[in-house]
Amino acid sequence: MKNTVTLLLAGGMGSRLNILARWRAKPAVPFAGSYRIIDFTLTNAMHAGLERVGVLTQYRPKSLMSHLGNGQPWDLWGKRRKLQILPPFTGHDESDWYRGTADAVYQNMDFVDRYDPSDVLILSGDHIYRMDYEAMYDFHRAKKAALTIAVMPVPWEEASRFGLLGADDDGRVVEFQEKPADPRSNLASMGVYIFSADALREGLEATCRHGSFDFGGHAIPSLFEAGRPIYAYPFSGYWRDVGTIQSYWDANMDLIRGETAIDLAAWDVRTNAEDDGSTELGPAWFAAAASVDQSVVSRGCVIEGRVERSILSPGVRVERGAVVRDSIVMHETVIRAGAAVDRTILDKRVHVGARTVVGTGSATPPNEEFPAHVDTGLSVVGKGAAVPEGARVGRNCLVFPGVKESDWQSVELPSAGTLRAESSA
Amino acid sequence: MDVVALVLAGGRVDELSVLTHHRPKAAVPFGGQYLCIDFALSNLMLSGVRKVGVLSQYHAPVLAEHLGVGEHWDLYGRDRRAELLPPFQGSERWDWYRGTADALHQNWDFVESSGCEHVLVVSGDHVYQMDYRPLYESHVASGADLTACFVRIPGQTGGSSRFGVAEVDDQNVIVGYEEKPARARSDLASMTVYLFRAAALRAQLEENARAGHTFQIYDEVLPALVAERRARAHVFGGYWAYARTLGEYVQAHLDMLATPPSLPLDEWTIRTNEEHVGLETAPPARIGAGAEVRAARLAPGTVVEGTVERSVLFPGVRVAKGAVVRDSVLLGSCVVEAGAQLGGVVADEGARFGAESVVGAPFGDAAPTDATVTLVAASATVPARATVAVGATWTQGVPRREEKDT
Repeated sequence: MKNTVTLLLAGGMGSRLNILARWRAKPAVPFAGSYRIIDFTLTNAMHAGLERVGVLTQYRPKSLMSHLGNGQPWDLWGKRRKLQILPPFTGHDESDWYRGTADAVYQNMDFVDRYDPSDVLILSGDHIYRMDYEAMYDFHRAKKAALTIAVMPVPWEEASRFGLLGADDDGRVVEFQEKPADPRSNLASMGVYIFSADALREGLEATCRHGSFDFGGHAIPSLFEAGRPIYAYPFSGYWRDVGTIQSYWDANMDLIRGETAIDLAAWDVRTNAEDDGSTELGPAWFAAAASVDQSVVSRGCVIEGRVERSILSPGVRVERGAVVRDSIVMHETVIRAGAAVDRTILDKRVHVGARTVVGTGSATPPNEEFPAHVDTGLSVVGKGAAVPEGARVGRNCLVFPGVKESDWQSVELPSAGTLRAESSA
Repeated sequence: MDVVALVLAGGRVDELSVLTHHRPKAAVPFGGQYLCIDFALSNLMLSGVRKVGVLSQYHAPVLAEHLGVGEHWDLYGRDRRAELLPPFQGSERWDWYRGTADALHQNWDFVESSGCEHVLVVSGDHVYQMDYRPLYESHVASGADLTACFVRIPGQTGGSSRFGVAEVDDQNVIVGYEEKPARARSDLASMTVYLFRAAALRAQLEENARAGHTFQIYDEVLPALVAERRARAHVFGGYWAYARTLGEYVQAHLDMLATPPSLPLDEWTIRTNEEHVGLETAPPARIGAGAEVRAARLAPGTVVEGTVERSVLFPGVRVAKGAVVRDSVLLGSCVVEAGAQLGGVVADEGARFGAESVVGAPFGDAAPTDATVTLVAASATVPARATVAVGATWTQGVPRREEKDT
């Protein structure tokens, strides 16, 4: 794949992840204990030997840029190897923010042109999967395709959430449906594209010049209508879009099912441990009073209580008598003695006071403010928030990042409630 | 700190048996994810030392690989460096290092080129976290030629000691020093941490090169300075482990597991070469359904489906369902198959324990000793249902490969 350039779309807002992705780009959301979502795509790029990767950022890129560093953790640093961050910019004609995925690529065509590639990979930093891009590239070259789109079968009842493709026996695409009400295919686009360079330019010019800015909506259909050969590359492994709080939680829980789902060791997933400070943390300590079942425990964790079916990021503390069940706990969060945390996502550096209960009561009413985001019984406590000693937090609750103990008017946050920091809008 | 540091990392330490067949003591893994030398290097980093030489001799390449260019300990930059100093041939010098003093003497140009006023010499073998800055301040304030560090060993006085033992006056000037005495005259045991005035050290090393016999710092340089009352003692009050016998090596690991741990690893900052020790690619530890893990430390990359108690597991170790591991230290990528029972085992990297094998026995309430630790060599295999007796050293089943040294 020497003669390729890769563009990785990492600018998305991830609004359905609500407070998990409000102050960080969705690809930078922590995942699987010691990783971030984008690590999975970057790891695939590394294993395929990709050498020139541009990462398109836009929304809250600070933690993402710091995580990417110079690309060295993914072997993207060297004389010929490069990870280039491509933020929005102002120019003579184009002074706008990226208006969509196709527009973001269009505005960075000079990065592509610099290397004069034969083909361009367009990837998304939003998904959890292990895929061999080299095999897809070989397929693309063998078919002499203008564009190859990776697809996988999804359950028919979910098909209308996806961009769907119909293909003939040879794999050539014969039909597109973008999130249709009446799906005629269950082959969903995974957001992984290989364009021949000229087809990419043709598709982008046809669409961006005419005021439409997304790949799925406009750039690809215009190539299709122009009769260019577009192929569907079938993928059959693990692939998850972690765009909602429930799907994010589900995918994390796939970790504890062992080799059948996400296998971090076999996938050889890489991250930038230096950036999150975990290179100064020792092996996890399970005290004599600890009891841990079906869980993932990162370095620097100190466990003196009970942990069941949970994912702990580096530096988490679970004190004596505390119980953590079916939960995701991120970096350096502390759960004090006797607290109980159930079906909850605790972001980084959360403080759960002694004898506090988080995740209790009825899971039926969806969150009052964000019923579309938080409605499956999971509660979320944002980065750096404090839950005071003895408090009770219900289900489908949101505690905003930075909430201090003094922001709690009452020690009770009933199910479906939302609590904001006084200073935040 | 106007200090250049030299780390003594050349020694083998026979008491550690097969653990040091293919690596120097300083490169023996310790604490779930480190090598012994990481403790000294991290101490130097935290103390702000910027120039470090690592004196190596026995199996030097493993240290070269681990040290890299020193970037993991912030020793790489415009005015920072870490250098491996193996023995070398020159037009006049062609010997192996004859002792620690000789190694310093042969590398004097490294000290000289640093331009530093003081030379800190530390062992790369020991487990402790120490800020060397208070030592430096008291050394400079006193004007001593040498300030040596000691720990107090309760009950040492009057008995035999495996350490260098100092007697001090009420100003902490060392008035007597004996190496491994049959009857110790105090409770002060040397940590092999020496801070010298460079000019004084140079004079001693030149004299030693002319007239020395053992060429060891503890045997010839230190006693000479003590005789002239130019050496002082600095007493360190924190945790320090010698870890030079199998019993001590296991005990130091057990010290990390109690509540609260006497070796407070979570309060220390120890850095390592992540890539070299296999951390860079290791996912978080995974605990399976029905597993039991208590009083244990699990490195990234471990998978436990059985029972692990009072044990330390290094990256990539797997313990299958029904297996029981107690009082043990399992180095990287060991595999414990279903139903195997391990007690008081130290297993080197890549050892494999067959299903339902029984290896060693737990210590119960007794402290581990060389006679109760059962040792399994790197890449050795204990066959299914085999029994290995307490205190044995198991070396069978190592895949054949070219012997590099015998």
